Amino acid sequence: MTAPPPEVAATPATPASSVPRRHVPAALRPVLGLLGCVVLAVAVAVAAPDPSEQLRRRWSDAGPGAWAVTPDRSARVTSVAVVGTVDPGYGDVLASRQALVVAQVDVAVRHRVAQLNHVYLRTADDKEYAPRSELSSAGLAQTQPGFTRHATLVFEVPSDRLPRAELVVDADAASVDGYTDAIRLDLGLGRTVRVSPETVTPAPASVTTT
Amino acid sequence: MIMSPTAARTPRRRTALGWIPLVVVVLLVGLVAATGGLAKAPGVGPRRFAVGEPVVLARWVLVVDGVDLVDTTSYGSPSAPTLRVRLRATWTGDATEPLLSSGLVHVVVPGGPPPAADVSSVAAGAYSGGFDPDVERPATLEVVWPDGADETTPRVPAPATVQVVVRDEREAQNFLYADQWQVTDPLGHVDVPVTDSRTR
Repeated sequence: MTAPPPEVAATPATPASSVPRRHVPAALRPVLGLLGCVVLAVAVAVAAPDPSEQLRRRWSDAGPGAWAVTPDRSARVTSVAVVGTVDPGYGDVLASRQALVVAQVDVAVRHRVAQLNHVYLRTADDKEYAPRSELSSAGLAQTQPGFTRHATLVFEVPSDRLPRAELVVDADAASVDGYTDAIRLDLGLGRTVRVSPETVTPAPASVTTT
Repeated sequence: MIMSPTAARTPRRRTALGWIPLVVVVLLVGLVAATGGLAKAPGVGPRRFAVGEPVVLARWVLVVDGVDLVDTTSYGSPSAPTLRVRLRATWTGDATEPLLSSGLVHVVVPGGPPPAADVSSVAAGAYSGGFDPDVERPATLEVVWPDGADETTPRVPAPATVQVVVRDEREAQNFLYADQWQVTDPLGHVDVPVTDSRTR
């Protein structure tokens, strides 16, 4: 004999029609919709990372004298001098109360033309120093694929910022930046950097076939 | 007639409660005074800086070293009479800045005809390029004086001093561009003796 199923206390169903519903007045709906959009836009703007700080790079690193290689270009530092005076060979002599870093670099370009207009010295505390434009005739410039540019870059930097500084050959400066390759070259500057009193005259830039 | 205890306390309680706002005010004034809020405020309005005194701005440190009145370019060719302001400028940003911010410095000639509105930057010695972070370097600004003068303008007496007016910058936040800065009202000025180096 089978036991009868236990009785389940039935819960009286509440008819949906009896639940009070709050209606948003029709006149307010567009306003609330607009407010929602504004709140969403502000939230996105506040939460989105700063694009200038979130540039994505695939870094290729190399020590002094060694080539750093990326698909489009390779670069190396062949010599580094830290001096107080640079004579461009014309006009006034650049005499600094800080330190002048004179770096000879080679950049070999492949596949596509390179502007080489975004190269800088980066210090350990993330300050960026552009090459002195007074000596641009010795510096980097647009280079066609299949050629290697040999240049001398001069940076003026406080001497206490020089330890562990590196040379960055970054992606060409453009209106839109994206995910790309870039090069970091160790300048070989140790913990203490001595500024030499000698005067250096940079050689003019030259180009050879790769 | 016997009054209830509640009725007897009510006037005294009201009197005591009446002191509370006064006590609060005294405490607040005391707190403000203790934290320096009643100290005499510094003078409001443009400040006066000395020649050679660093003027610390939001992104720059400027030092006004002198003003020359010249009528030749730095290459020696004739030019309109020009007030040449010699500065030292230190950029305090994180990356090399190509130019001195426009509008930071302008020149006023007290009692004299006004100079031109445009202030141009020219090479200062070996320096003609950008401003590196925390590296002081010379900078030279030029302004034609009087306004509209050229090489043929009759010579006018040189002013004894001019005012080099310095403005600061403040960051203008917006959602479109990063690192937007606007020039503020004048921060102060430097009274600078003028060296008359005209050749004509």
